[in-house]
Amino acid sequence: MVERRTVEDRLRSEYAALLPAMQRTRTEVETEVQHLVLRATLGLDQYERIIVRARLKDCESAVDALRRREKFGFFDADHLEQYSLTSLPDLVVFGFSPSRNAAWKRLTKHSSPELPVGSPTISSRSFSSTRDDGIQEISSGRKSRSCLF
Amino acid sequence: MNTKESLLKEAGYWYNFDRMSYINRRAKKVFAEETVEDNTEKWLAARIAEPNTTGDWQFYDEPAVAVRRAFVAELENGRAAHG
Repeated sequence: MVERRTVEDRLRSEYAALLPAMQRTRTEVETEVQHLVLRATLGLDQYERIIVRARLKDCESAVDALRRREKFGFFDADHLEQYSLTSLPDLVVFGFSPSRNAAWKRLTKHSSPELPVGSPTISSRSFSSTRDDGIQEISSGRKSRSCLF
Repeated sequence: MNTKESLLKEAGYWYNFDRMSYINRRAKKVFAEETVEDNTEKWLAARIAEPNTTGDWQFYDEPAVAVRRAFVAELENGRAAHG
């Protein structure tokens, strides 16, 4: 008898299918943000940094994150099709952080309108773009990209 | 510790982090954390006080069939409950 495929197996398979799109999105978003902060970066003093980082959630973390959303922490094995990693908001995240307040000021001064940098308080919460982009490709229903700091 | 947690602890319930629920092996009852949060202390006290006459594990709220099956198997193996 063929053993039944578990929800976890199906999600791992989905992860493998999504991975190329996730990697492309990471590269795209990271490059775009680096471009947006370029002018501010060029004006930094030698002890200042603006760090731009992006990461992909690894497969098991993604599966666990989805499982933790379920009441009692179990997947319903009778309804495999209701689960998708694309419902996670943080499969691909990126963040940037200036090393000092002075770097924040430079970001505020030089940033593009697409990068809504106002103050550390506001900027450390979220950054979103209303354009369709790579994130939408891997995160269904979301038209904005998000970033965590 | 809030009042609901106190009620549960005094009644012999332990919180299971993996299952996000309060479990009492002796009473064979399980409260989902979400259910505890969504209901009043009065409701919780009444549910704790009511006897489990099912002869099986009693869940608040009742999970889907496959979830119940997996959870009960885990409970019966003693992995998900203390005490």
